[in-house]
Amino acid sequence: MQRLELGETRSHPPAQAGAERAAPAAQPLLTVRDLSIAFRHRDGEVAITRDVSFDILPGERVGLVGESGCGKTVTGLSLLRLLPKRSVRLRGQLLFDGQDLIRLSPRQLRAVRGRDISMIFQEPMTALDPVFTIGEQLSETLRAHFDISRKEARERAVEALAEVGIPAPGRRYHDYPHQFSGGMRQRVMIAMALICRPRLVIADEPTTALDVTVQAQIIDLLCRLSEETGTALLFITHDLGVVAETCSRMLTMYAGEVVEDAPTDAVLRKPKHPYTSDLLRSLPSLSPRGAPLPSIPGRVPAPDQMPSGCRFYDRCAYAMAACKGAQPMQAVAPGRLVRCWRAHQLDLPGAVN
Amino acid sequence: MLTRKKLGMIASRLLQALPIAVLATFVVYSLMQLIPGDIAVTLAGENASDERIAEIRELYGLNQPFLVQYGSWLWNAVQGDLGVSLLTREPVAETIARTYPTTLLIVAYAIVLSVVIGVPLGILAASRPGSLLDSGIMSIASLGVTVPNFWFGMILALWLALGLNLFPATGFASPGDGLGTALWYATLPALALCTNGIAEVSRQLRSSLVEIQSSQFVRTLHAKGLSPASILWKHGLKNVGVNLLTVISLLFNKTLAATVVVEAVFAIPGIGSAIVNAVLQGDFPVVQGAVLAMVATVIVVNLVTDVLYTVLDPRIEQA
Repeated sequence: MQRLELGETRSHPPAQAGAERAAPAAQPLLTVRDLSIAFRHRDGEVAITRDVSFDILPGERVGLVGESGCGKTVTGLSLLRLLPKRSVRLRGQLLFDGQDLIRLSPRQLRAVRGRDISMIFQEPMTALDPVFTIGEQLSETLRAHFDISRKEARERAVEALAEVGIPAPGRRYHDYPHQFSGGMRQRVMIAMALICRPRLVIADEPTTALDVTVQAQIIDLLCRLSEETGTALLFITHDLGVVAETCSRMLTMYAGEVVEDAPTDAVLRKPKHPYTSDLLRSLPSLSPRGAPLPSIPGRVPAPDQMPSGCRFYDRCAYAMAACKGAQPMQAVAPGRLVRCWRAHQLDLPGAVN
Repeated sequence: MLTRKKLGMIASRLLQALPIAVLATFVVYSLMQLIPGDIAVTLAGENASDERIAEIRELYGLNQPFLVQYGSWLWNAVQGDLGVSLLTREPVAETIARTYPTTLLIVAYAIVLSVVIGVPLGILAASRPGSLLDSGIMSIASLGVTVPNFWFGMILALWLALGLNLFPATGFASPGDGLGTALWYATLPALALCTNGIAEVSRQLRSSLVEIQSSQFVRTLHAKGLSPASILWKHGLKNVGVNLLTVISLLFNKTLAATVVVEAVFAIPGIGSAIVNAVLQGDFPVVQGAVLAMVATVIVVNLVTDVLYTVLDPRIEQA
């Protein structure tokens, strides 16, 4: 119910729904617990993310935001274990449907990929196989998971192309990726991600590589289709505007850690982590005209030089000596978690005042 | 529409090939002039008088200027007359028809062996890049590139033919006399010729496959839940098809050139031997005809390759 309301009135702040939802009513669809990702190299390991934990409810839309290099994309890829096996070590739990995705055999994992959880990538130009028709790439996804005839798969694929708004889908079924524009290719990717009616779609910056003029169309399409099919969405993006418009909950990542997990509306009004606050204030559209654009001083510490305490310490305007101690996630309100011990003392500026 | 476009491409490529063929025969003709020895002396026989030799030069037009000689050869060749051998009086067209199928059989056999052995090796190596298996296969492949055909041919003849008596050491059966026998005779020369091929096919296939495995679209295929087998055999191989085709096409041309030496090692009456004999004796109509036949073959192979490119990769437009 809430989902429908959300999609049809996108201009309204969507997060009242999220605030209600924050009460732990439904069983989560996906539970990520203490996910740590490390890249192996010759002399050992470099930790990329540490103890990432969050839940996604059925049909929920969650935004995962943060600067480039904060571990968003790697976290998204790790949910389907798409990172190179040889060089990456995953620890923690990825509970989906009562099974831990980290412990699945390759065969069991393949049954989940594309069927229950699917993924949309950033680059529609390179994400499709250039030497097969898009129709074949759509119907092979179906045939990998369902025992159906080629003819039936083709019919379903043509329907899927029509659903994502590709004109003359019956004819374009036989076209190759290079014969489509970037926006149309991303529509094909969406059709491919949704063709098996998955319960969760991970969209990794699905509009970053597209023209501004089609970005809104693609996001609308993605939201509309995920609503119609009841699919949950994990929206990985650095575009806070998109999260504000489409997601009921926002996860902020910094330097490989989730630093804030809150309903979108609440976090836009009153962020509890200084980093989230700085991120919101860096939005060009929010700064006063003519004034210099606010930015966050300094840079993200290198993965092998992470401080043991708060990772934002060097760049934080509110840092104190006690910030050098370990910072666990703590609840500051129902459904709101923050990785900052001063969260209850600070009154931080948000995007909406 | 598409077929018309393709036919247009084939026609234009053939037109472009004509000057190449003419130039190749001209270069060969010029080089023949540099070879010491005078066929007129050979033809006149031992102890012939100077008058007799001059007479023979006159008879065959050997006393005419170089360009005139070449011009008249070209004029006849354009009309379909490749002339006759100066030594045996056999029409050159017949010499080609007699010797060329033998050579083509060996070359085709060597190419098939290269692909049949090289492709699985390349796939094996690419399936675990950086592993012991990979480096083992690639070291052997590097060796295969550097081993000279004629030397390997002699080793094979010593071991498999003279040592184990598995194959005939020399000689040949024409494909016309039964394909089985012809293949049996062709095995050793083909083995000698295919070492480079196996090495190049496996190395090229490995590097293209490794590159493709780390590409974005393969990640998409994994995310869709396809099996590694389907990703490799369906998507991987079609994507490396163009590279593989290029390798095979180049390999064909190289192998065709290499037969000249290998035929000499195994005493096979192919077109390579015909060229070697004709060059040694200055029998230029045979050399010219045989070279023209080989040039034409290479042109056709390249053309077929270009047409196949457009089949394998939809992004390649026929120009």
